[in-house]
Formats: sequence, structure tokens, C-alpha cells
Amino acid sequence: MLPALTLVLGGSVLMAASLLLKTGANRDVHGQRTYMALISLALLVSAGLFGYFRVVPEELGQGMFRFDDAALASERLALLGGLILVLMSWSTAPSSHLGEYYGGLLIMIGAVPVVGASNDLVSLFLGLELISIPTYVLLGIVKGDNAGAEATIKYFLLSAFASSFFLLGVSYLYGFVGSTNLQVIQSNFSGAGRLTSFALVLVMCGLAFRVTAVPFHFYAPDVFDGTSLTMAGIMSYLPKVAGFVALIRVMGTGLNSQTIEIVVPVLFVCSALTMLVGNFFASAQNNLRRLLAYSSVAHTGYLMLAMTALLRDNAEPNVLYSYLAAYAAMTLGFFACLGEIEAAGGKTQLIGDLSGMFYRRPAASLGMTVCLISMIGLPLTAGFWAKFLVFMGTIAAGTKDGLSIAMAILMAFNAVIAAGYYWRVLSKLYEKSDEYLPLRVFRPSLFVAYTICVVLTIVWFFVPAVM
Amino acid sequence: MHSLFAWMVPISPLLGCIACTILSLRGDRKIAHLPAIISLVFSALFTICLVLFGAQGESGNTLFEGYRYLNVGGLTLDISLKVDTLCLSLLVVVTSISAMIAIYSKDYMHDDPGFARYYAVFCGFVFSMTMLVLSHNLLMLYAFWEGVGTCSYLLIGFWFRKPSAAKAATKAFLVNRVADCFFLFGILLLAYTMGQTQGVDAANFFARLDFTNIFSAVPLMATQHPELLTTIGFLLMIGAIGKSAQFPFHVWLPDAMEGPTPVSALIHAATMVTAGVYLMARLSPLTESTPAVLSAVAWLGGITAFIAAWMALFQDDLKRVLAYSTVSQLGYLFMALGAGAIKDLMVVAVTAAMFHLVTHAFFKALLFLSAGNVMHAMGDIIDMRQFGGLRKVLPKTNILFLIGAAALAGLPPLAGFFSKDGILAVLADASKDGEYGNQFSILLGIGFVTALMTAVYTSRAYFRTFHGNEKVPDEAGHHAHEATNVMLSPMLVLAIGAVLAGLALGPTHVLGNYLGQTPALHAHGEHHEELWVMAVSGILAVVGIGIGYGLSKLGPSTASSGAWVAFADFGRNRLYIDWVYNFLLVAPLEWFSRLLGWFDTNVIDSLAMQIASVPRLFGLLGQRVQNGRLPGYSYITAVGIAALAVWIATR
Repeated sequence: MLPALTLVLGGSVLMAASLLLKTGANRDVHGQRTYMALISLALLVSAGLFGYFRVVPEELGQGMFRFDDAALASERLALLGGLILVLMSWSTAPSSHLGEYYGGLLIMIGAVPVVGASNDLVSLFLGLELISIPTYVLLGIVKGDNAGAEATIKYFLLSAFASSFFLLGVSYLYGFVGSTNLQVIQSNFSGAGRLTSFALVLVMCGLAFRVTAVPFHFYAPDVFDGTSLTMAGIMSYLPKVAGFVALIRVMGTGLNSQTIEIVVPVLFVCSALTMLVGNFFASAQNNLRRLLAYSSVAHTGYLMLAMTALLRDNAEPNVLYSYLAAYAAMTLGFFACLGEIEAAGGKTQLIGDLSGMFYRRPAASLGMTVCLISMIGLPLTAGFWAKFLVFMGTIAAGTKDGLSIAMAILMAFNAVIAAGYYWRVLSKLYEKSDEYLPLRVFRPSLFVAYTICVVLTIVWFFVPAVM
Repeated sequence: MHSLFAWMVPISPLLGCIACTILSLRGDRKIAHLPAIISLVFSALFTICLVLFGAQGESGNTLFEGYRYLNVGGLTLDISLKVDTLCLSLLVVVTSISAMIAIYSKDYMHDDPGFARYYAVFCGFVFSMTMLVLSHNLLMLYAFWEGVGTCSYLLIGFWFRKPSAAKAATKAFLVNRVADCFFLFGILLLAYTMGQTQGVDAANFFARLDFTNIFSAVPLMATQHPELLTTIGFLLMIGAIGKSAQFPFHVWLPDAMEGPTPVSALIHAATMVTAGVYLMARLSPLTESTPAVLSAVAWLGGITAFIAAWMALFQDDLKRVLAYSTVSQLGYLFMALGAGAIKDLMVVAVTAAMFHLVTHAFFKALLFLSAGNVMHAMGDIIDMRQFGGLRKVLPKTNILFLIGAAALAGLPPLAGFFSKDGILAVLADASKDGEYGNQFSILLGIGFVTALMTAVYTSRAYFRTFHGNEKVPDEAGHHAHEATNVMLSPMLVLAIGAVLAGLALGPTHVLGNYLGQTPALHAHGEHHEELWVMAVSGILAVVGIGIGYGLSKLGPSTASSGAWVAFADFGRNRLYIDWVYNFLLVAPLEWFSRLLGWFDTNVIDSLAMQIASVPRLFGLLGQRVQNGRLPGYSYITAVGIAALAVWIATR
């Protein structure tokens, strides 16, 4: 638990320290930014070291937390994403509330492993709220920003709405067994009726909000549109990781051969709708932010498909986590590239704003190219393996299961639609335009952030085992 | 430790490639040669370490495991390196010559805007080539086979704004593609046949194609599926002759001279084109059971050696003379490999081919670099009609070219004499065989005639360029100058190789004994040194040089008899082979592709565009739901969950 504790406590300290930070006109904004970012990085690194040197006991026990594969994977994913996000924040964090910003961000990063390691419904819910509450803070951190305020309110209300479903489902689960411990629930879980399935579906609906699955995706485009790029990056990644790990946690306990037959079709339907809605809506967009939001929705659809494969033991256990890792590299890398363009004075609101960007900002454009190719899922990038593994996991059920085959075909079909709109963005980058105003401002932190993402994206293609 | 060395051989150029790519993206023109040269020198040093420490081990081959690339379902891909003396001997040639040429290129390419791009692809080529040589698996070899092909394409078309260069690159790529297609079929058929053969462990498609597995399965396949094995042999052979530019695939190599001259020296003379020879040598345990394939190899080699020498006689472009000469010499290598059709001669045949491969790499690279010096001084003019008598202008290049030319002509005791003699001796041995003897007698004759022609065209090119009246084209300006020391010093090393390699490796049996450590090349057959072969080839070299000198004095326009005119006409026009290809293959294909193009734009495209607009349409329709109003969102959500609940309740 030490890595998560480091991050959550460190985040709290940073938040408290914000009271001590000088405000007013004559403060040293640049220094404050640097120190805050460096402290956050130091916390992340020490959390990583704690995680690396942790001795995992042979007997995992039945306590509140349990360090199995899911816990370790979620911790690594959170730290990886956290590293990139902190680097992105270095030059993009709102200068008026640095302490609150970094504090919130670190708490969110630290909460992901809390969710991942949870062996109890209470701690799981605690972890999820530990992600949600800082999200509200971060979304509304710039006062007087109308779009931001709107996004915050929308997110807050819908999040509360979704949490209520989650709690309802959890209370059913508690009702059946009389314990909140997930392992106790699993060993005493005899129910096979509709009610138990219904409880599981309710839990799933509650978590579907975190992962932006249909029909809980509505907030995504509005929020992505109304907030900063870094924040959009945070929103597209951290809640998704936490949501999926929580899904694995809860669904994994409640599943037996009878419930699986009810839950898997529900997941299939959700996944199909999520893919279709994400891709159809994205292909109609000219607004880059909204396009990215829908693309994140579409990726949720593929991830849900990966989850069905995982729940049915059809795939390697790392199929979901490797997809999330590839997703982290490509999406956060793309946001970092956009962030650099914005920091250099370019606009990134509409797809058209990127026209001829290769001639204005070559490094960031190449980074975006790699990330987009990875999102399409072409070889030479991690995205290829990610999609390939999900696809293999889905058809592994074999020819006897027509529904799985149909889902695999639907996924391929969706990948084609997605390629269409990603390619639209990609071709804009290399469009010959009349204005060749080079963007010259250089932000090392953002450059490092997307370089890490690009290198990971390419290296993971050649060494997929470490993904 | 050995494992680290073995892995560093390809990884070092890969790092160089990455560094140069980054530099080329930044538009660098100054320091891109540093990472390339350093990485290539390191690669060469690591190779030498491998040789000195005997990385092939006691058993003659060692597998250095890398990592498991993929493990999905029944498919497992392992990336590993296999080191034995056969691959080490080629590896030394590849890495050392590439390091030399990289140093040479530093001054040769220094004014080019694509300086960094040049080095990036250069390193990429060396990476692919070393991986190709070190592959433990036929499929992995194929992957890097394509890798070197791609790099060759990029380098031939390096000056892609020049239409002839772009065309030459496309031609090289497409001709290779046709051959590679057969190669791939051969690999797949081999995997299939192994799966069908009783008693072969055929668990995994990729692991099945490991060289060790293939060779252990060959005897079983030869008894159970002899006709399939012969087909496989032919298909793999086509792959080899495509990359090594043998008849009928030789047409791409002369055009490939459109690339920068150092590239011609490295890829299209010393290393990549020998990949086909390496493949045949590597697969010798397989081809041993298919003598029909080997006799075809010998014939194709013989035909190529002869016709390429014929064409080389009548070229005016110095680089093209060298290109045809390369094709011709590769023909020699294939003739030698073909002699393996006779059971006992396999090992000797492979040894002779590898020997000539090594020496040829040195002197041909030297000749190309000398031609590069000439071209550099003459302002990119390489037509021998426009310059002459350059021995005063380029005194050092004159000597270096002379050494290379003498080695190529086979003048004793230079490298080319010994290695060519080795091949002729193998052919002479083969001609004594009962079954194939007559064939190889004819091939031996072709070998002698070609040796004479080689001496003729080499000396003619030398005397035309460096002797006679001094003539410098206008393009050279007034400062036609000798190459810089940076360019000359690697050439000196190559020249030493061209002089000494033959004497050091051949008569002393150093290379033969070294290659004998490879398990597949263990059994030493009886091989007789034939003095008369040596004497005849030495005399032919001297006579040929004399004739060449005479021809260079006569000049091009002194045709007398009708037969000679026809002979010259055929040679000058490349025996009309390119014309026939154009007429029979390219023109009908272009016509057909125009038809398909019409179909594509008018039918498929319009259909595809209609289909492509559907998702957008759906999206635009759906956007009405996404109206930014919270009550609407939560309403749809609630309805969705209610629908789910009803669905579950009624199941």
C-alpha cells in the first residue's frame, strides 16, 4: 500500500502547502511551477520505487487490500500515466492554484492503485470517490471560466447519478451475503437468479460512467470541450483505468457459469453500442476535442470487449492491461503534442486548426502521427498489438459461439470507421497551407512527455511482452 | 559475453540508424556521419571479437536467445541469433566493408542536402543485413531479406527528384518483388511439407522453420515427398537469384547504379547482392537432396556470367561496366554453388563460392569507390567517352583502380586470381562426374571464356579512363582534383584486402578449414588442385589484358566485320532482354492496370465513398441527442438502464 499512500499523503501535503505559497503580483510563478512539478515527480518516483521493491507475500490474505495481478497492473498503469500527466502539467497547470492542482492530480493517481488493490466494497468505493472528488476540483479550478464551470457541474451531477447506481448494486450484493469483503462474497455466492445478475448489472452501470461507456458517455464531449488539454488527458485516462479495474474486481467475484451467461451479453450490447456511438459521432465531428472524446468512448468499447474475453478466460490475463498501457501512450502522447502546439501559440480546437502543422511544428506533428497510427491500430505501433489481442481474445471462444464472432466482426468494422476519422486528422497535419508561421516556443516538459509516449508506442510493438 | 557481442553486431547499426533519423528530421548536414561511422565501426569490432573468441562454440553453431516476440494462441515467435562460421565469414565482410564505405561517404556525400537521410538508410541497411545473416529461422531471414530490399530501394532512389533514379528504384523493387514472391511461396510450401511429413516435430509454424529443424527434416522429406522438396528447392532458388541479380532477374542491377556510388559499392557489389549466394550456401543441406535444382543453379550462373560479361564489353558508362561485371562475377558464384549437384563436392563448392564472395567484395568495392572518385572529380560525369587519360589528374585513384582491376581480371597473385581459380577448379572436378560431367565441362568452358572477357573489359575500362590523351569534361570545371584523404584511406584498406586476401585465405586453406567448422559443411570431400586450370586462367588474364589494351587504343568506332557489329550491337543493347521484358511483360501489365484504374475510380471508389459517408451521416443524426442539456442526458441514461433491467428480467 506504500506507493498509493505516498501519493495520496503527498498530494494532501501539497494541497495544504498551497496555503503557504505566495500569491499576489510579485510571486515567482516560474519557480513555483518548477518546484511543484519536481516535488510531484519525486513523489511519483519514490512511489514507483516502493512498488518496485515491494515483497509480495505468498499468501495474499483476505483483508481490505489484496496485491494480486490486477492490483500490480493498475499500480503500474497509474504510475506510467501519472508520470506523463505530471510532465504535461509542468507548463500547463493553472498558475493561480498550483498547490491544489498538483495535490488533486497526485491524489487521483494514488487512488487508482487503491481501487486496484481493493478487496472490499467499501474500500473500492472509497477509492473511486478519491478519484471523483479531485476531478471536480481540477475541472473547476479556473474561476470565472464559464465553459469550465458548465463542464464541472455536468460532470458532478452525472457522476453522482452514476454513483447512486453503483451503490444500489453494491447494497444488493451486501444483502445477499452479509459481508462487504469481495472474497467472502465470492465464496458464499450461490445466487444464480435474475436478482443477482441485476445487481451485477447495476454495479456495471455505475462503473460504466467512469469508463465513459454508452449510455453514460454524454458528459465526455462536453467536458473535453470545456476544459484544458491536460485535464482532458487526465479525464480520458485515470478514471478509465480505475473503472475497468473496479469492474474486474466486482464482476470477477460475482461470476459463475450461470451469471456469466447473463452478464456477458449485457457487456456485448454495451460494448457494441459504445463502439458504434463513439465512432459514428466522432466521424461527424470537426471539433478536435469532441472527436477525441468520442474516440475515447470508442476505445472503451474495445476495452469492454477485452473484458468479456478476460471474464471468460479466453485471453491472456494481460489483454486488458496491455490495451490500457497502449491507450495511455497513444492518447496521452497525443494530448501532450496538442499541448505543445497550444503552448507555442497554436490553436487546437478544430481539426482545421492543425492544417499544415507539420511545416509549422514538425516534432509535435511527428509525435501525433505515431499516436494516430497507434490509435488506428496499424503495425509498428503498440496499438496494433492492443487491438490484435482483443480481437484474438474475442474470437477465441470459437466457432460455436456466433455472438462472439459477430462482435469480432463488428469490432473490425468499427476499426475501419475509426481509421477514417483518424486519417482525416493525420492528413490535415501534412496539408500544404499558405501560412508557414513556425511555432517556435519550446517546452521541454511537454517534449519529454510525448517523446516517452512515442518511444513506448514504438518499442512496445517490437517487445510486446513488457507492455 | 558472446551473446552480448552477437547482439551488439546488429543493434549498434540500429542505434546509429535511429540517431541519424533524428538528425535528418532536424535537417542536419554536419554531424550525421558521426553516429553512423561510430556505430558501424563498433559493429565491425564486435564481429571481429566474435571471430577471435570463436563464438561458434564447440558444436560449430551457437544460438543466442533474444526474446519471445509473440505468444498468441498457437503462434510463438522467438527472435534469436544463430552464429556459425559460415555466417561469421560473411558478417566480417559486411560489417568491415560497410564501416570503410561509411567513412568514404563522409566526404563523398558532404554537399548533399540528404546527408543525414543517407546515413540513416545506410545504417538501416547494415542492421537488416546483419540480422539477415544471423537469422536462426527462415521466416526471420525472409523478414530481413525484405528489409535489405527496402533499404536498397530507398538508396537507389536516393535522388528521387531525378526521374531516372526513381524509375530505377521502382524497377529494382519490382523485379525483386517477383522473385521474393516465389521465395515466400517456397518458405510456405516448406513449412507445409514439414507439417505433412511423418516423424517431423511440427508443433509450431514459426519454430518449424528454424534452420536446425529444417535440416533434420530434410532426409525424411526427401524420402516421403521428393517432388515437393524439388519444387521447394526451385522456389527458394528463384528468391536467391532475384536478390543476386542472376538471369533472368539481372535487369535491375545495372539500373541500380543511379544511386550514390558508395551505395553501389556496398549494396550492389559487396553485400546485399551476395545474400542470394549466402542463402544457397546456408540451405546447402537442403539442396543437397535436390541435384536438379543445383544443376539449374549452375546453368543460370553460367549463362549470367557469360551474357553479363558480353554486355560489360560494350558499355561506355564506367559504373555500368562495373555493374555488369558484378552480375557476371555473381554468376561465377552460382556456377560454383551448382557444382554441389555432385554429392561429394558440396562442401568444396560452398567453400569456393564463399571464397570468391569475400575477395570479390573487397576488390569490387574498391573499384566502385575508385569510380566514385572519378565521378566526383569529373563533376558527376561517368561516361568514358567524355574523359580519358586521368592518370595525372587522379594519380592515387589511378593506382587503386589498377589494383582493383588487376584483381578482378584475375592477374596472379592478386585475390581474384586465387578465388576464381578455386571456382574453375571445382568446375573442373565436377566435369569428371559420370552423371553431370558433360554439363560441367561446358560450364567450365564458359568459365574460361568469361574469365578472358572479364580481363578484356576490365583492362579496357582502365586504359580508357586513365591512359591515353588527357580529356576532362566541362562539367568538372577547372578544379578536377584528387579525392581527399578521408576518401582514400578506406580505399587503401580495401586495396590491401584485394591484394592479400586471396593469398592469405586460399592456398593456405584458412577459409576452407574455418568454414568446415559449420556442422553442415563438415565432411571434406576429395578435392584436387589442378595446376593446368591455374595456368590457363593466369594466361587468359594476361592475354585478356592485352586485348583490352588494344581495344582501348582502337576506340569505339572501328567495327569491321558484320558479325562483330552484331556482337557489339547486342552487347550495347543488353541483348535486348530489357526490351523483350518491356514488350512482353511491362506493356501488357500497364494496359491492364489502366483498365483496373478505370474500374477503381469509377466503380470501387464511388461505391466506397458512398459507404464511407454513412458513419458520418449517422453521427450527424445522433448529434441531436448530444444537445448539451443535462436533463436529456440523465433521461436517456435512465431509460437505458431501465431497458437493461427489463431485458434481464424477461430472459
